[in-house]
Amino acid sequence: MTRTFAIAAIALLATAANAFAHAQLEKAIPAVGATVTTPPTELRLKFSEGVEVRFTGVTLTDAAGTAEELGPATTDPSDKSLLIVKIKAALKPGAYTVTWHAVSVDTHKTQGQFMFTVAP
Amino acid sequence: MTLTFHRTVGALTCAVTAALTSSAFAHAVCGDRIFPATLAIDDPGVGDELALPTLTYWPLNSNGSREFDAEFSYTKTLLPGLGLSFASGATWQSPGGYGWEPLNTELKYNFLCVPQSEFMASAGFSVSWENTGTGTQATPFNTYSPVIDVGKGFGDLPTSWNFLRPLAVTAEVSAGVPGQTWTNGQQNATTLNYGFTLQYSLPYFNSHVAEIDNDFFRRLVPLTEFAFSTPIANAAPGTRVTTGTIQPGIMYMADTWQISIEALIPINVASGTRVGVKGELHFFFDDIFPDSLGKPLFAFK
Repeated sequence: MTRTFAIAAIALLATAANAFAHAQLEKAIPAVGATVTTPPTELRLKFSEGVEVRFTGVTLTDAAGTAEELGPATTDPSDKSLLIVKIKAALKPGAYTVTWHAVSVDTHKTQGQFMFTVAP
Repeated sequence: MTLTFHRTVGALTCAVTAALTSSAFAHAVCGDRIFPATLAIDDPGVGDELALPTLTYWPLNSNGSREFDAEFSYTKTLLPGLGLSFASGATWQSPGGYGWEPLNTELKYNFLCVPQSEFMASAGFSVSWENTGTGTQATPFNTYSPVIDVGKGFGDLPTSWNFLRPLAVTAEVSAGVPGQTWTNGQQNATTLNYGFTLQYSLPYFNSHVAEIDNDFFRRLVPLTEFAFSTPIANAAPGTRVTTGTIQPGIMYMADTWQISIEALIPINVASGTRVGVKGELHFFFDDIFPDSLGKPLFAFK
């Protein structure tokens, strides 16, 4: 019985290794919670899975809640899990909030939010 | 019992009707929060998933026997937010011997998700079926259990409390009502089963608070589960004692599966006399087989 369970579990693990999943944020530039001295000119969000750029969006707001103007979201041509968004105007020193929502290539929806700070 | 049963069936009928028009809740995701599958307290979500195997080793039960369990649980979504699960497994006791546990089925509906509050709730009704167990686990009567599961993430705390935002609490309350009050001269007690989990999600920390520069650590969820059971009716004299375990442990969350291990610390002598261990490998079929086994049997748009 235990052997049957083990064989089934190993077979599923092998299948799962090639599967898609919910797109979770793994890394970002600027990094989650980071303080940067040079104002970023773009946001780079690295997800655990490829994302559908048509259904994926990012907003950037300052400490007062005012939205910064952003360019269209695109993915890296060689990596659909890397979302890139240009920031149109130079950011002033202060705290900023990035809010994102994503749809992975297998249509699962995820969302999140993080902050970074531009030091004076 | 009959009135309770009819009310439950009525509630579940309403739930099925509501599910026909509800939006989908894949996995156990609510807002920014993903509630992982935990070992003692069921998560508040409904998804296509398989726990295989769930292994439990009790070094010393309250009756002096050692016990090892190898179990599984499979959940299939019928409609978005509505799932039917099947669970069973083998038990070895020494002394005592081998037995196959009764088949347990549960119909569960995820009726609430408040994304901004990361709050999720589900209601279910489970049946442990008579005469489906064998050997030491043979049981000649059904046991009926209405169940409520809730989960709350603390991502809505102000950013000044940033380090508490990865915290989440889930809780479960159920009643185990035997379909037979006496068996072979022994009373079958009705029990109230309840508990909660405290979880600190490092995946949430990594994506919301501060980046963790290590692929392994940012997928861990340290947690502690608290699971209790109290006989509330038809208990034999001297057996109305609350039993339970405190289960500190850790979980690794991959993209499509997770693995957990927890210590089982009995809360009193009636719950056991040594520390045990429980582990589980868990697969999310909505991620592994999104176009076949991992989606609801019926979906209305």
